[in-house]
Amino acid sequence: MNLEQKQQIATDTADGIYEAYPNLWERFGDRGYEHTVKDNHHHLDYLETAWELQSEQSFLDYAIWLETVLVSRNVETALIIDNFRRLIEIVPRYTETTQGDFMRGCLDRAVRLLELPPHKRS
Amino acid sequence: MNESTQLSDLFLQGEEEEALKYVQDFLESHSHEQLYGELLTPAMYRIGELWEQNEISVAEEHLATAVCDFVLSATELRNKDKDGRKKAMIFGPEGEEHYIGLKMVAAMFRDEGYDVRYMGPNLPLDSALELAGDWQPDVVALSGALAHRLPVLKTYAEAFSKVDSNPAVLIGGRAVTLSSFADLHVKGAVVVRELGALREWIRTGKGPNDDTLSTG
Repeated sequence: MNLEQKQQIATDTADGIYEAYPNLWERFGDRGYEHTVKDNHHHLDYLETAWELQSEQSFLDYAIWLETVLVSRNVETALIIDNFRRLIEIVPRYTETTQGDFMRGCLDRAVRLLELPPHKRS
Repeated sequence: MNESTQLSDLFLQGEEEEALKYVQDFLESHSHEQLYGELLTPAMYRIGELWEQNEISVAEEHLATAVCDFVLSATELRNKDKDGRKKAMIFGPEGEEHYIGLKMVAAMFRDEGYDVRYMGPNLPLDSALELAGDWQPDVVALSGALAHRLPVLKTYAEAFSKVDSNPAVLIGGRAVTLSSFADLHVKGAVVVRELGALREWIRTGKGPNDDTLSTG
C-alpha cells in the first residue's frame, strides 16, 4: 500500500463509520473524525509491520493497546471492532492475495479477541 | 510509592530542581546504569502508560520528557580523552520522535570511553548514511519506541551494514522489548533488549546469552 492508497482506505473507513453512527459527530465533532482517519493510518501501519515481520501477535498486542487508549477517551470497544470489520472488507482490495489474506487474518483474530471479556483474553 | 513513581510525579509537575536533587541523591549509592535502568526508564514508561489511560495530556507528557531530559544531561558522565577512541553514532530513524532512551545509550557509550555523536530522533536515512561515510563510525546504534518502527529500523540496519567502516549495527528501544518480538532477528544487526545487555556488548562484543541478543 502506498501513502495515497492508505489515505483512501483511511478516509473511506472513517466516512463509513461516521455514516453508520451519525451521533459520533455530536459526540466527537470534526476532531473526532480527523482522529478516526489518523487512527486508521496507524492500523494500516501496524498491519504492514505485522506482515513484514510475519507476526500476527504484534497486531493483537496493538489491538489491546489501542483499546486501552481509546476506551479511556470514551471510544467504546464496539467501535474498534466495527472499524476493524470495515478494514477486513477494504484492505484486501489494495493488497496482493497472500498479503491481503494475512492482514485479514490479523484483523479477524483481533476482532475475536476484542469480543472476549478482558479476563478471558490471555 | 516506589522511587520511579515518585520521580515521574516530579517530572509531571515540572519540578526540575527537585527532580535533579532526587537523581543526585540516588547516584550517591547507585551507578548510572542503575539510574537509567531502574529509575529513569520505569519513570518514563509510567508516563507513557498514564497517557495511554488518558490520565495525562500530550502537553504533560512533553513536560515530563523535558524534565527527564534535563536531569539526564545534568548528571551525565563525560569522558574527555578523545585519542584513539572508538566511535559510535546514535540516533532515531525518520518518524521516530522518542529520544530519552537514545540519550541514555549515548551516555553509556561515552561512559565506556567511546567518542559519541548523538544526533537525536527522526534522522533521515540519506543524511545519516552521508555522515557515516565521512565519519566512519565503529558502531551505529538505532532505536524505535513503537512496534511499527521496526520495518524502518530493518531498512536502516541493512543500509548501514554496507558502510565502508563496516560498523556494528545495534537496534534497541521499547519496540524490541515487546513480547511479540521476543524472537526478532534483523539481518546484519544486533538486537539489544536492555541496558545490561548493551553494557555487556560494549565490553565484550557479545551478548550475555542468546536470548537477549541475536545477530540474525
